Amino acid sequence: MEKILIIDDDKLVRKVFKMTLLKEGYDILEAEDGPTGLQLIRSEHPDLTLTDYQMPGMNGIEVLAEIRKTKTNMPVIILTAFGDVVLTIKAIQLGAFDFLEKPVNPELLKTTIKSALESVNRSNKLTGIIKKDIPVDTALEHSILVGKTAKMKEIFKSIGLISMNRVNVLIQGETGTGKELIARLIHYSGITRSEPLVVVNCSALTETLLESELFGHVKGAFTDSIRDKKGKFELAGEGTIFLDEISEISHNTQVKLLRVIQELEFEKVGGESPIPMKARIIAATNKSLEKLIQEGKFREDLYYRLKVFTIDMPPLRERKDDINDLVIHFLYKLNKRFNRNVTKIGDGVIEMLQQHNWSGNVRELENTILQAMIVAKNDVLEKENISLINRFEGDQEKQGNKEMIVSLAEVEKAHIKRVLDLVNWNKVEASQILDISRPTLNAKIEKYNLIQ
Amino acid sequence: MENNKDNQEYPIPDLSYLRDMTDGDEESLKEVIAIFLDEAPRLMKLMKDSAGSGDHDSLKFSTHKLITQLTYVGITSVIPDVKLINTGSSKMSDLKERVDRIAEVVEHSMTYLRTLI
Repeated sequence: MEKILIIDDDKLVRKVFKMTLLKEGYDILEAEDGPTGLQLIRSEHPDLTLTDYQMPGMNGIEVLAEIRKTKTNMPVIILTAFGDVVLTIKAIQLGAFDFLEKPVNPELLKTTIKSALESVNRSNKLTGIIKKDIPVDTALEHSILVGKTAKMKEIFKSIGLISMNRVNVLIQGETGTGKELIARLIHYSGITRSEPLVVVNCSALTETLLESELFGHVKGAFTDSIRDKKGKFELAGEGTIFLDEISEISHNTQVKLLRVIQELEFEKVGGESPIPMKARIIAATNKSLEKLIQEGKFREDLYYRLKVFTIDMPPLRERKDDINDLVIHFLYKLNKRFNRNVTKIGDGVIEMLQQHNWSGNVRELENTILQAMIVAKNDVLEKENISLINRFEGDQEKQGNKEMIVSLAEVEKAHIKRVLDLVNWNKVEASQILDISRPTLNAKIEKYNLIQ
Repeated sequence: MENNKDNQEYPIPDLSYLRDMTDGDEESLKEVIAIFLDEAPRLMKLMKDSAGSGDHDSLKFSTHKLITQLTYVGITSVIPDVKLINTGSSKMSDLKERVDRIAEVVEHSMTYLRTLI
């Protein structure tokens, strides 16, 4: 029998809740103030606490903060007579399972409690997957080494070879497959590890700026060049220069880059003295360079100079067996970054993620896990925390299933309904997530005839 | 005619929320009403006294609690006024009149509720 503690200085409220919850088969403990409630938590170990916000002496948020010092996993539901955005946010930040407005709809109260207790039960059944004692450096390596599929294992083996030789490498793969991570791994795992790694995004700069960035310039080379500036090739020294989105460089820059690779020296913009080039070049592209060569947009000779060794990063949809490890890795990384404690993965989550097409690849997966972590109400990442609908529709569209395409209104209706269900129809919370006012949310609920 | 006027000024408490919460159990309903009849006078007195003395903190506390209790026993006609006092009593020129009016309606509703237990 699950035990519920009701903390409220209002005897009538305690009575009403007690009657309702006794009928549902719960054992009920009562406390008329925060300190008494905390004492009961220590002695009786309830499974869930319902606490009023407005109480003399110690308010519900203070009670919650005290509970969280020792009971990190017990769901706490806070009740208040007024919906208050600031309080709601604070309560959720402190780890409240939910924040309900009085008078609470009996059905909402029952379903919220049931859902909270179920989530704890699921959490208790699952073993924590995050090893908290992994040091940061090791975690960084793990971030790169995530992957047990055959394709990834082959890539790791290749990295083992490449990293001990200063050869140029071309990394090909769709956006979000982790090309820069592979470049970092090559750099940091081999003979270049104590030398600089310099990253250049070739698409972010104009032709003139890119050349100045790559090769540097001398004072007076152009209008704003008031002093000499070292370029990325020079800064990379005997380390690595990573040229991301290499397909975006202009024809002129291609010629200059080819010369650098062939002659292993370069000149600053406006300069005359050659500077030796000792860095290894790792280039990356999400476009087919072979196709660009056929179209006359990329030099074939440069292509062959860059691809002394080639790594093809597989899209996530071709390495779905890695999703489990990737999710664990992202939970570890994001928990740390955002000070969260989501350490468990609920039933069916991995299977659900494996069914998705992941057109945005690993980066999309990371963003999805981050979003899910933010809405997770305890330490378990649940299916209902994960938002894949819109992306799935996008995938369907790409696959040509035009009959699946729906109107904007239908998308809005479905999204609002999903958010409302996610927060148990707490409109304050839903309007926060949707970034609309509560009256606007109410108007949309009415417009779309949404029912709880 | 007189009776209709009386009903407009002092609507009968709407117990539908309590009936929902108690799942139609009459005994439970009576227990809750009894608690309200026991507790409400204390809160009403605190509201009146703090309005009289200008103690806005106590007024805020008492009205906050009253909102919940009045909602539960369905004395809803005065809730907008109680909420107004809760959020802006210090700016009200007719605070005492509003408090008296609330007290009158609640007292009348309590008389009705006493007949149910």
